[in-house]
Amino acid sequence: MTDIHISVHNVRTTRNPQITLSDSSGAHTELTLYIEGNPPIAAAFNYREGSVSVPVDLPPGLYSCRFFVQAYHYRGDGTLNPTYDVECRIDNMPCAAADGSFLPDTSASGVADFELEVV
Amino acid sequence: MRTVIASLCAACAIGFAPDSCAAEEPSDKDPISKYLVDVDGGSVAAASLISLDKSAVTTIQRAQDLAVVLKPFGGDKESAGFGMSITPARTELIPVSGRSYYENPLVRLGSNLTLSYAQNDKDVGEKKYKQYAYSLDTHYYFERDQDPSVLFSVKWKDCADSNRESNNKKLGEFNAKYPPGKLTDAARKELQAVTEERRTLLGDCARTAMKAAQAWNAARISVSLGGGRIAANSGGQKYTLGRRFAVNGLVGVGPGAINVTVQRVQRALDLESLKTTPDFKSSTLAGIRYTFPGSTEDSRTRFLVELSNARSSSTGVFNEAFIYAMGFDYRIYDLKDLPIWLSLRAGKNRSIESGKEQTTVLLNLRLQRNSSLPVLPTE
Repeated sequence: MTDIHISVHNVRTTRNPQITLSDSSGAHTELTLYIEGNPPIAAAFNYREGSVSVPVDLPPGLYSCRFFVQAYHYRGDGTLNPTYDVECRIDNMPCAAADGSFLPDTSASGVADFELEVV
Repeated sequence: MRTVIASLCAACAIGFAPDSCAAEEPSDKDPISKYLVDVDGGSVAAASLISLDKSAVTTIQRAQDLAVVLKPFGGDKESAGFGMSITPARTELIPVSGRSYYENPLVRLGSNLTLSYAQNDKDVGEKKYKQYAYSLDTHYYFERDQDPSVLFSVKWKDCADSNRESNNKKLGEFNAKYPPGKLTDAARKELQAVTEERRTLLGDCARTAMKAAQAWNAARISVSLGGGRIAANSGGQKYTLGRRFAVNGLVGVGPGAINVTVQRVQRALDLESLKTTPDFKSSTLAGIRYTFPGSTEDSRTRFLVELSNARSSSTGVFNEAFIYAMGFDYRIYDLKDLPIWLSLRAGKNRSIESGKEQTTVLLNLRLQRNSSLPVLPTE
């Protein structure tokens, strides 16, 4: 099991931002974004679908955010390779990203916090 | 006309291979298989070219594996047989993304490319030789959604989505336990444990779903190219073991499938001839097979009919291949994960001794995970 290092940036944007989670991994990944006071935004990615975008209804304010990356590799079952390359954007501004590799037939995970300011 | 019962054994363990029909075969190979046109993909893997046991082959998955497996080249282990196999796109060495794999047919073809190398010692008469072989194998599914990698991925996401609430709940509990600013090493280890548990859950779910969805007769093609050399340990004699090229195509026809295969062997060395004058043979074997898995999903029987050009082209290389044959596999008993199969093949081939055509009947009873014919989703 590998610890994923996520690089994060605080973001400042306007009301009702668009959240985009994207994946270009060889492994299978799940991304989950928690914005304080809101339900989680989560997506699992297969080889057919590489990104999801959802609008979030956020009034002005400062929000604590937490981003989770979970990556899985299954030897011999069709997973291409144990590498991950994922990103989270808010209104097209990068707020969290991670890429790297881990041991075959294992998993990797990472968590990081950042702040979102809605004006 | 002559009838030959080449193989008959009762409920024996995997590995049974009567001397009369499979003396040179690896112990886990179906003794019947060498009489049929090989329609499996990747059949020219380097280890099989020099009869090296599969257990001696290391699959390279990381750069570190490569370093370990290359050690024998310079060490004492060189005298022992060993092999290595690598599918670069399935490693971190040349990581291919799932999106590229899905979108680009050339990436799919290249991502399934497996390179293999093998070497071992071979005694011929009183002389000792070293054999070296290489192979390149790849395959391609014409419908990308039937490609096992894509299919697994799709089923995996279905499983992940249907278990979303469970993951959200665990991550929510994690958030409550470790609020912002409290992400300690212990917290990260806890997250790793949660993720590993989920990996197992989703993997089991995806494997089950994939098995139910996979079409055994999905249209595909496989291409293999291999070759090798042999050299006397004492120096001097060096010969080619020949080159082998194989193309196999499969297309579904109703519940069944048609396999078409062409195998070309060029300048294959007859190892026994090393005792006297080296003899090289070339041949092309082309065959077509229709496989019918029964009309119901729980069918216990597979049928096949096969035709090949073995009559005109098999001199010295594909000696025993059927010119035409028919047969069936019948699952007699369902042991857990290891059913008992009865296989019968009957057809015309050419006698090695006389060179004349003969009728050959092969009967084999064995415990094996799969039929030598396709496995259905219900099995």
